[in-house]
Amino acid sequence: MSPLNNSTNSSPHALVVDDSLTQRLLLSHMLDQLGYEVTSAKDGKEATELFNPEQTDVVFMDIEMPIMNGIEAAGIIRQALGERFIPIIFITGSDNDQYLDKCSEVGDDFIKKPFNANILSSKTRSLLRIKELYNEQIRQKKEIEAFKALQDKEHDTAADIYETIIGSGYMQSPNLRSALSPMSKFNGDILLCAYTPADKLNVLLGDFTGHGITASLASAPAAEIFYGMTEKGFGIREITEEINFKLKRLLPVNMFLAATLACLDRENLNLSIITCGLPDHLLFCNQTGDIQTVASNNLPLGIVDSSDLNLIEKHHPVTSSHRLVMFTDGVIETENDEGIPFGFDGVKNCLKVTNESCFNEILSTLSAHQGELAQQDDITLVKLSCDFTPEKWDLYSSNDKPVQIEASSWESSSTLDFNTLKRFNPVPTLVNSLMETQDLMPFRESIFLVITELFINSLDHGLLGLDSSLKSTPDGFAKFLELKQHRLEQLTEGHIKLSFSHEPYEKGGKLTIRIQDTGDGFDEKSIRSELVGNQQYSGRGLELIRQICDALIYSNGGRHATASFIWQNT
Amino acid sequence: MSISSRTEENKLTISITGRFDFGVHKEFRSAIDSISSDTKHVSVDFRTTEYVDSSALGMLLMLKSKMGDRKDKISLINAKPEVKKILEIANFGQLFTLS
Repeated sequence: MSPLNNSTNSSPHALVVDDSLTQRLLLSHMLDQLGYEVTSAKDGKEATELFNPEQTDVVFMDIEMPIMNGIEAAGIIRQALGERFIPIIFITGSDNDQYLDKCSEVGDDFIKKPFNANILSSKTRSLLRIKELYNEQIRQKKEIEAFKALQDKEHDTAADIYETIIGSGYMQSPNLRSALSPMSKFNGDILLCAYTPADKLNVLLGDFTGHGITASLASAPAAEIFYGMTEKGFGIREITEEINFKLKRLLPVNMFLAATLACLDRENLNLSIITCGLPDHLLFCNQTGDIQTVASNNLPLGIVDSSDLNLIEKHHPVTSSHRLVMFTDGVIETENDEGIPFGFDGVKNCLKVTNESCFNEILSTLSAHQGELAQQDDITLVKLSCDFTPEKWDLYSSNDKPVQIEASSWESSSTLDFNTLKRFNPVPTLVNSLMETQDLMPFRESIFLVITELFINSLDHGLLGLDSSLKSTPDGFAKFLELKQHRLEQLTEGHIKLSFSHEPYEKGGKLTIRIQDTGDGFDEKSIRSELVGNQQYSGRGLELIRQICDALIYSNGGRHATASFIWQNT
Repeated sequence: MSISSRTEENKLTISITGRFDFGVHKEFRSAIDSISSDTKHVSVDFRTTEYVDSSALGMLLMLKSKMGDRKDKISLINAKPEVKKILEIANFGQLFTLS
């Protein structure tokens, strides 16, 4: 019979503790026969001194001894071992059964006098096996802990990078309130908002398939596209198509982004929404109590090619009393302790005219519903207020930095035929190309506004022959946009030509913008009068161009327009 | 087994019982592994499905990808109202036949 070898493959080491010399010698001899190296101690105190956790594999401990008894000594040895495990076997006579309870607290087994070699052998073998298993487990536990610490550190770093990407272009808006409670450091839900150069507020709420790091990985490219294109002045339709295009290429087949993109347009008191697979939103008027359900009517993003997306964009006339409440499915699926989900009605019931803040009401009701239960999904709740009052609307602060730009002379023009006009809005691309030819970045927003207004007039009233009086009713703008989309799709001829020329002028330069269309012409005064009686926050349109530009001349029955923008170095 | 499948005359029917979520990912994968070039039609039967989440929608997209250009040959059938609602929110009617 050979003893179980310890991990170092040398003989196992036993510590024998007994105040009786005879017993010590007898047990030591038997263990020696079993292949053990033996150290012996004559009392508990000596045992604690001789015990070496690096060397000892098993301890045999008498109970009643002078100076320090076995139970106390075993306790001290256990404490010294900490997490490690070394079996302690108590040596018992027939007369000390009263100690058994105490012994089992600090010891692992008993061996009765007189000793039997077979019992001694099998007991020590099985205890040493347990010791090996136990210590292996401790080693693995430490390995896992070390791995987890490393992983946590990497997660923290990754989370920082993620925050930087998602938060980099993040512009706060007093109109946007949100509560995001991700299940992990990485959120599968994203919320982005930014203003376009034409002072519209674009918002994106998205929910990737799954949770955690996998779900949040793809939010970086989505955020970059959103911020980049919003800054350049693209509309939410183009942004949605671009994000879809990118995600279709990036994501595995079974992953997608359920998202809603909204554009709040102060000039036209309009909220445009493209919904792609998120739960129904609620458009609530806190004056009338009217609630409209905004249902998802497009595929989530990243599933089909953008050419198959056929995005449906809805336009809602809004006032400063309207609130768009959006949420991801985590909100409606949150269950109470009876397994009943919060549900769509749970949100809807919180929307009442009397409520000062429907947002707080939803949050507190949801929290009460969830009670003590653990969160089951990423939860995101967003309220977009259509509040157009100046204090709620981030206006661009004027750029106070001195302007020092060298003016050059150049000309360029682009002609966009009806097919091109159906496909995309050329203004952002044209403005960017202008900025590259002649650095006019400090004036980018003004130039963007002028070209946008001229282009839209030319397209809407010139080429598409839309009557601006359509916009005079409360839901007129939404109808106007629908008719515009329809006429654009039916368009079979015509083009718009945009020409730019620039030359040095006084202390700066002069940019001349010419626009021509092949439509039936229109009376510029009809557009101007439309603006005078228009909504209180307007002030855009031709009036705005006249404010920004030094000259605006319509000719050829409204088919030609020329605007000059003069800038100066400061 | 929460997912069972059978093939009759080159028509595959996959039935899902209980929750259709990431927990049955492996079973669903092995069910769609039986799709071959001979498979003419796939029906996913939701009669006994209680719940569908976004990873389930992802699995349906895997099925669609597996069927390649036969994607119009996939029917999602017998969905209860709450399951049907999830499929409708995602506008999966554009990708599959919902009935």
